[in-house]
Amino acid sequence: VAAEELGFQEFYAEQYGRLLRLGYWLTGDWGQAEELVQEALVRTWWRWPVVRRLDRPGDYARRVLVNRHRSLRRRALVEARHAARVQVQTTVPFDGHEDAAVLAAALRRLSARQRAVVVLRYQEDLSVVEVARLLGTSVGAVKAASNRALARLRSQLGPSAEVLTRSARRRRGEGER
Amino acid sequence: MNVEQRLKEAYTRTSPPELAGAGAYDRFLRRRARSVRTVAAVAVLVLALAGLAPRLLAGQERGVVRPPQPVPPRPVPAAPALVARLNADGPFGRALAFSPDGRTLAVAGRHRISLWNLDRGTRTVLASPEVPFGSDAVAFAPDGRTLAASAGARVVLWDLASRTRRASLPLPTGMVGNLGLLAFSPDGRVLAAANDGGILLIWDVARRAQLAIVPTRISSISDLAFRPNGRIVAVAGHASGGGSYGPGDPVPVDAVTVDVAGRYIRESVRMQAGLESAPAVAFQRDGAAMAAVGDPQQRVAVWNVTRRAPLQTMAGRYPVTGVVLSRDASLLAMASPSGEVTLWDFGRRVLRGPLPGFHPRRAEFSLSPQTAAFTSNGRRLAISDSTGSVFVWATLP
Repeated sequence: VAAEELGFQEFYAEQYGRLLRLGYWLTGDWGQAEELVQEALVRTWWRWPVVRRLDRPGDYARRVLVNRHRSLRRRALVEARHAARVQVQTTVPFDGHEDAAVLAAALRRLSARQRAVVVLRYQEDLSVVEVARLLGTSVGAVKAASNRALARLRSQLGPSAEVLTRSARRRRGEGER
Repeated sequence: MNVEQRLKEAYTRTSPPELAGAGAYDRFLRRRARSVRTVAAVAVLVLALAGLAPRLLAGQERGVVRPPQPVPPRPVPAAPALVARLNADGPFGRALAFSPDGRTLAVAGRHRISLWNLDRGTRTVLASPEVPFGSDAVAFAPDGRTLAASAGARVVLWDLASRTRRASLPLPTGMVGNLGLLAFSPDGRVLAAANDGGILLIWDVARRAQLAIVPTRISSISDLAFRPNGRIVAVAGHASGGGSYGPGDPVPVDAVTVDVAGRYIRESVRMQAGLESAPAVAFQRDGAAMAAVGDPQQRVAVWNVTRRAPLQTMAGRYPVTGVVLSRDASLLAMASPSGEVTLWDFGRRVLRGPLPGFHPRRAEFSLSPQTAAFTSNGRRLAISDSTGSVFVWATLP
């Protein structure tokens, strides 16, 4: 059991940062992200004897986290619990990286489902099929949601001139994709 | 840069606020402890509602809760009956083993090994000077006088009459990984152990010599059994290699047999398991190896390993989260996610159960040969749940 415990501790240390980042982008709040991550890891621990045999136990924890986030009732609870905790800072700036803050604000204006699709597909780099399985929906629905979400993000963010020229240059350089 | 690229870049550059990681593991441990307490509270509540509370309190001094015998005894009671409920040490399912006469149950604990006398309801503790002495697996020798126990990568033989450690078995140098399964051959001369890296170790018990070390092509062995003649060992577990699996995906599992000299793998089958289910293996009286596993289609698939042929399939209403076979492969226990455990009797072709008085945490329960044990005659079954309690049932009326 000592080894089991140690194995989990290692797993925890390895996954904590990664899951926290995912939680942050899903919720837009570090405090809520921590709630989600702890919840997901406790649930993973309950199944640890099984999970540790998987090839990528981290994926299991991620699935739990996304499922937790999906459940709206749960989210309300997380928020309430979080509101009761005062010591957690809610508005921590990104390491001076402005684009991230702008993007995070734009993401927060999407629906929870669209946000989840965008975060999983474009930030966690999952395939459409994996996203669909994680969110318990169809491939078509994921594609539709991500197209709508991207369109909204594009219109909200508004391409700056500099960005336009750079991407135009890249397109010319690479030719047709 | 388009939106997708900006999202990706912002993501990779995200770092949590400096204090986020501080004390996170402590907070996790507190929350985990809370969740264990919640489960325990719910379990107590359920037992109280089932009307067991007074008996629980009455039996507390002796540590065993024994529901009263049904009066008058019916001629053929059909359902399995709860015989005892024991308190083990600490959470996680614990490894269990019955003595050959079925009267004593060894429970591998976090700090000790408990020997419960099920007739008298008393407990004897095997403790070692090397504290803490946790144990991952236990097995009784067929003469009932020796107990083999593994701790981490070590195997210790206990003399049960004097309750002293008699010997440690030699291990290959540099071997790591817990030995999670132990089994004696029917004549008691050979001991086999499987570690969680898929390695099978075989010793000559009398000479305390290593007979074989077999790297099987199984990534984690979940069950281990001897052929009645003591010359062949069957192991089963999740196959090595492969990708990551989601719920509902079939996961490949293998069952193979190995000569006790470890020279070659003789027979093997590959089966498809559900994500939560580990395979079980046992030998029938005629010497054929049988393997069983819960598959993703909510069924239990049973194979004859020796003939490499499917034997039978049983359909369930739920995904099967684990199976255990009795030593002679005449009974199969299978679990549903809600903790309902039913028994399939291969000879009479009847389903018994669900086992009464067992209410593990919903959606958390899975049964495995490591945390459950039949007596050698199959008349009793013990299961340890994730909170550390051990339940014993009489399987056959």
